[in-house]
Amino acid sequence: MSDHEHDTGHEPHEAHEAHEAMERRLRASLGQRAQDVEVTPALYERIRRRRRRAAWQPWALGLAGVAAAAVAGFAVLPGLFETPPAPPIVDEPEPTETEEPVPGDEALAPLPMAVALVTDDLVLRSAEGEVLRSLAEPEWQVRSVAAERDWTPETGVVAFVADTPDGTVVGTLDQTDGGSTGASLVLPAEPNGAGVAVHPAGDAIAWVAGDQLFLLPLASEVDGLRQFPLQDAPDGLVVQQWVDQVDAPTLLATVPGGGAWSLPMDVGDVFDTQPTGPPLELPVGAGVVDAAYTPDLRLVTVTPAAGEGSAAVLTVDDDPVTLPAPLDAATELVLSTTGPLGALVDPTTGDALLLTFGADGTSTQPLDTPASAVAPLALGPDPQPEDDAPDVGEPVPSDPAELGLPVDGLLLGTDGRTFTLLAPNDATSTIEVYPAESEAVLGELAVRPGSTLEDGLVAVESASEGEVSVRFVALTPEGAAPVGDVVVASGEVTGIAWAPDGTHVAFSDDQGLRTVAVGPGGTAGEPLTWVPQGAVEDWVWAEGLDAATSGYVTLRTDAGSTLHAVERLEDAATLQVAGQLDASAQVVLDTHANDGAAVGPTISVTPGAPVALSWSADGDAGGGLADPGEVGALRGVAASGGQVVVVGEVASVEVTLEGRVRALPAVPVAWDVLD
Amino acid sequence: MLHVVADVDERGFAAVYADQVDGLVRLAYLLTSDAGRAEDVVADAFAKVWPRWQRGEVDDLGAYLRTTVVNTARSRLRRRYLERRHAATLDGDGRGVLQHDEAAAEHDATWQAVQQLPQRQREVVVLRFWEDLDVATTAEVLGVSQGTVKSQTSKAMARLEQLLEGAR
Repeated sequence: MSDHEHDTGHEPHEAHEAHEAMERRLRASLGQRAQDVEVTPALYERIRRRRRRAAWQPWALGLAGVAAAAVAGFAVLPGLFETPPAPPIVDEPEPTETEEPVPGDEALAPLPMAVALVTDDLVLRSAEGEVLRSLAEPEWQVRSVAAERDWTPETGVVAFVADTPDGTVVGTLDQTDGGSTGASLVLPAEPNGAGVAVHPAGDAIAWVAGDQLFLLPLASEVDGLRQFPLQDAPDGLVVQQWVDQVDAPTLLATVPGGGAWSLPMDVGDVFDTQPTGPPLELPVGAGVVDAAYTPDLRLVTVTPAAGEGSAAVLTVDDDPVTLPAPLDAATELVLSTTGPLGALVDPTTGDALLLTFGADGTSTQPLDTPASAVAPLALGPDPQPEDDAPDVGEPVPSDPAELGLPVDGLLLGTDGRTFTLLAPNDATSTIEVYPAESEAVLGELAVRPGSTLEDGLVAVESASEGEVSVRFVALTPEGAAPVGDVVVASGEVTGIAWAPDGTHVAFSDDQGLRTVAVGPGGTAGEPLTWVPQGAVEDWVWAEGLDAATSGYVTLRTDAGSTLHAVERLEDAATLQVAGQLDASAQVVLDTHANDGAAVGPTISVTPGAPVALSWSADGDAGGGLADPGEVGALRGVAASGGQVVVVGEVASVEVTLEGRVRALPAVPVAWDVLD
Repeated sequence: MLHVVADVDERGFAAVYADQVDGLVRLAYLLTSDAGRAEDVVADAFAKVWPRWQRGEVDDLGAYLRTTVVNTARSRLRRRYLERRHAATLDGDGRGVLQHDEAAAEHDATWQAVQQLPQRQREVVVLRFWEDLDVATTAEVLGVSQGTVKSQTSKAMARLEQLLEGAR
């Protein structure tokens, strides 16, 4: 009897027939689904372009150097990366079962959260300090590093500036070959401040030396190094970052101690790009020593400590973050960002702070590193879990006395296995759901309305070995623990939202919208297939104008977000659609999170293009959305069903449509949106 | 002036591409359920494998590409929680990916069940019953023992029966 027969309990001949029937069915299904897919004509060019970029590395910089030398007297550093160097892998991955080298398996080496550190060497290092790869030559002293926007330890271009026995070198490493290839160019004059920037798509690198801007395309069919004089440029302009804004690609640059500048470039193909005017000084003050943009193009600036008793400040647009000790006393700080991460480093002491730029704001985390400059370039994937069950760790509140504080925000950890609860007075509690060696990752998260740091429930999406589920984590005074049933999702969970009364969770997956009665023995409701495919964003009960309506669910789809009226039923499948709202309908949403307010304000929203937001407190209407938008803008409003906290007297407030709030002076408004 | 890759190389690549790309993209799709991601996986695979092919480090290019696609697809799935953050800008027609027949796929209960298999079981099923590989070759592609392939196949079939029974 085969294993399969054991598994199914069939008699041998029945099992054989069943097996053959399943095989036929599988072959037919897989064959049909495979035929559904057509290769896009653009794929060939995409691959060609990537091949060229990879192939360019071993020799093209040499040619670029020759071309440049003819113009600018550059010398080519011979011998470097003449053959694609396999970087020394300090920690070899565990062998597979066969111990045979498996093509492409380099990408499978377990990489915990990885950052690139700049010391005397250029290395990839985990957040715990483990060296993953060492890339630079022994006698080189790497002084700065930059990477393309979506760089990971496996793919993408990294550029660096290094001092070598032959002079200052600008070099690149390309991760496209499963290892790293690279090339370098000796420079007659070193880049100001060793500043170098990589085009967001990895198509070119740029730096400023003296008052000259240099652009080096990284594709073999394009002319080599190009050079442009910068008119009216401040002395010592240091390139920091290349931002690919849709309508205004720009280089961000700073002058140490002298503020920040943007350098507008031509719109169009990167290989035709050139500066279109003199550097423009940004209105961030002269004390700024370093600046960068977050992925959503918020400007981050750093103002160092100016003397005894003063503190260094990180400012993300208008929101200042006072730096924790010992960075608050630093006089020189290095800031870098890539993807959702950034780092701030005191180059003198090596003290570092990991920054996470989220829609809900900026969070900081001290980084335990050796004395070095740090540039966090990307996150690597987490390793695989040994046990599928969540290993829920202890919460780590910032102040035990504040455990009873209501949770008013939730952030997914950058490692994908922790989340942080936010509470008033800057209190936080970080829950480790999976251990560091786990490869299970968290996705969507939602906290039950009314939860506190020591009494509450969090619904989390968990993905492990291709299986996605929704799990529940209880917050207790003793710590956090998994509770209730694991609900297996169909495909990817795209959103989770709690009912305002905390009795049910709605989540969206490939089957549509589903609801789950929460608690021990809770069962999943049937998929509500009437709901359009989309990601559930919010679930609010409402005091609607239609008496039959008892709630609203916002779904985010490719076409934008739509607001659906729902009815509450008696059984576990709690929601039943009552129809999509007319764009001009008015809905009155009760704000459930304002128990402390003297007067319970209500928020009125008008779905559809003419967005309007208003509310009343003490009978006075006020407020309004600053920008028109689609129903998707209602996410912030709908989140008010549990997440917007309006405290005290409300006079007026302006709201942007990305979940961020700009409060007028003296208006006490807090705004938190669950992710 | 820099030069493009030599013509002879381009002709060689074009021939390999024409011969391999359809099968590789379809394999990647069956492993990832996402047409856009499938093309990304195949692009990654070509970029990784081609230099090694040129350096004479690869004996069987087709097999090497296939194995790289399987491994890269698995790696991509492991990173899906990060990629999802960018899905709105990367997926769909906006990046030129042709849409597959989603309606038909949704009504294919067997395909829906295959997508619920753990990734390793899914790989085994796709390689054995779509690529039509024998146990030994499947084990070689996945870098596991033949016993693992057999046990994973058995578990996958049992799980599929269970899922399809539950779907009735």
